Amino acid sequence: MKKILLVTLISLFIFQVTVSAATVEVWKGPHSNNAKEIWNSLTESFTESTGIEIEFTATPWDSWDEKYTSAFAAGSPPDVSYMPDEFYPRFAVEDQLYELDEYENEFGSFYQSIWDMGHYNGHLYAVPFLQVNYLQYYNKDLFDEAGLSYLPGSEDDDMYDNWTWDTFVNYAKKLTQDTNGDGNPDQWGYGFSVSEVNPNTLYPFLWQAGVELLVDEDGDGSYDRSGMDTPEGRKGLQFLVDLVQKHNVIPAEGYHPDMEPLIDNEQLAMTMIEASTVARLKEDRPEINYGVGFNPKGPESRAAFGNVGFFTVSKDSENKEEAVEFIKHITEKNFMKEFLTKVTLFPTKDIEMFENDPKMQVFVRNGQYIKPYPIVPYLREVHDIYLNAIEQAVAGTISVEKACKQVDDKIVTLITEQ
Amino acid sequence: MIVFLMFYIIPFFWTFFLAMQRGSILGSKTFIGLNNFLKVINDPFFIKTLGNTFKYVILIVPSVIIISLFLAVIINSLTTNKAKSFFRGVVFIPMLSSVVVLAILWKYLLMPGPTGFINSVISYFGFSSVNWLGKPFTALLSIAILEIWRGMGFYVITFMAGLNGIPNELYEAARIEGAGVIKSFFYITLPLLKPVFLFCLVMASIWNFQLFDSVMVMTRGGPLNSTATMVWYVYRNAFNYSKIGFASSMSLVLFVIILVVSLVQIKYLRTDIEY
Repeated sequence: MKKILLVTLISLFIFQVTVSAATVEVWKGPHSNNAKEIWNSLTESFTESTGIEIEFTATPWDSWDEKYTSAFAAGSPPDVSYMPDEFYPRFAVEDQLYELDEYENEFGSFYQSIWDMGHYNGHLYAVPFLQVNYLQYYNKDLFDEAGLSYLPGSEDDDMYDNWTWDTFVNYAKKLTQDTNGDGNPDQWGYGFSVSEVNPNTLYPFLWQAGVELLVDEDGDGSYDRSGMDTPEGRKGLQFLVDLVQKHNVIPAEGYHPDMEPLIDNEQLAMTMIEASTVARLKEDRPEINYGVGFNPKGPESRAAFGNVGFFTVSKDSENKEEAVEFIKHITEKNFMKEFLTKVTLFPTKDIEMFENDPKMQVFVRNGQYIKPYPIVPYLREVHDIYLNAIEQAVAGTISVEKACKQVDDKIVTLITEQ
Repeated sequence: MIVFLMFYIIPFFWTFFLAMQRGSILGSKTFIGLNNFLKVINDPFFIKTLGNTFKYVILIVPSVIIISLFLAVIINSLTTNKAKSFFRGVVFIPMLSSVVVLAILWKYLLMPGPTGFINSVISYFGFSSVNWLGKPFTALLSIAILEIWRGMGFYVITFMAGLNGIPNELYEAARIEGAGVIKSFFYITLPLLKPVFLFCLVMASIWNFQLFDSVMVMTRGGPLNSTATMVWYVYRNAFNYSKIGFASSMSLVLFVIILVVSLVQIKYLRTDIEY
């Protein structure tokens, strides 16, 4: 009996060693409901040609921080991790990621600014894979009822030059209505929430006013303060505050937890969405007559939110070569196009996509307005500082001036602590 | 013993070690002595979360104990075992469900405007819609109500076990002496339930001092940090900001608070009654 047990254990050990030598563990947050099925089907050919098995896990976004932090801290991270731009620098600065410098020229040609984002402290840590991009959703039926022109989706559109902050406010006011006569608006001109986790739908207004999230004041290559305690910062924040307090065009005074039900019920005329909402509406609410368009032009720009997702290799990986081979495969143009078409997202290489989809073409054109995040390991804390101040100003508990100063003071303290 | 050592003793002392370090959980650390503790007691946000946590405990603990005791007495007084089992099951169901699922469900029930079911009902009766999770007081109250509803089942079952342990002869004797239902409850039931009551009070306090899941799902500490709890702040610092030393020191402060509260409760409420 003991001999049988010993033989079984040895066999299992040999089997496990044999299997793990050619298995790359990949963790990635999902960009669709059937993420695992999509990845497994697309990576079959890679396994067939290389013999390298891919063990894919779709990790929930809500628990991203604790899952990845715990895995890396415990010394058992996945071989390959998908990390957006605001996540990977923290792992790079803590020496948890494998430097990919020697492979610099082996991943093909990316958009240069995006390729540069994968470098931190002069080393390549992260290979860009996809872009997420937000622009304006608008309900065409509500616009028709209000007699308003549609939003511009290209520079050739008539509305392009007229689509400014002033026009935006006028539109939002006209589209905010009390349709059931109870004395309270139930159709809203614009939607955002100050209780969201991420400032994706709030930052664009600050950027459009000319705000830089972080500023390198002395030009030494490192950030010193925020760009909020400036005339631009006050202008941008005042614009957000006025939408709630002065113009009353935002549902629930900026605290509505989710714009999607308002979109579905056609109670919301405009809001910022990402491309996945287009895919969802196509599936769930094809009857909604809507369009997508650029952000309005603020005092300085028509900036839009977008971020980049990267693939990284963990320093503790025992399959680094295989992991790099996998990343090379999935960042090839054919794979990127096939995968990103399925999940309605955008490439980090120059690839023709969504040629026959007018809405998605607007997203593609919107790419020129995307303002990238600064690549710093403390970006999550920067977001919270900004969000906290924006929330307080929108709720009226502090003045715009105080909120801007609060952001700057806290950012300076944060940077000093690094 | 090995399991106890690995999952309780070692992590506990490791937390002490981490609390005296500066650095990320992922990388190198620097010994800084008690500086993290000084930072904690001088951190206005920590003080805010401390206040919020006490508000939750004061709101939830007495409410859940009283409501659970009331329900336990009612269910226990039902004449058939089938009825008792049925209602016992009904109150216990929320405890069996994932708190994340329940919190998401409540979040959508409480949505502002006609989108939320509760506001639809309110509007039907002619009242204005309430922005439940958008105002500090109602947001905290909403989370407290969820936790009371969710926690009831455990305490009802526990109280029912305690009620079953009270000899019927005592009630019969009281009835013979002319005592009614109310007098029997206050002079027999409550005193003899004291050990169970103490257990429920201590457990409810410990659990609600560590409130996190429903805050994380429903409000993420907002609006205006009015629902942020200490454990939520510990989580933010440990996992979002990589400040494991600061997070560890806060968790130790919380440990001391819970220990003191529990010891005070045990000291003043323990009983030597045997029956």
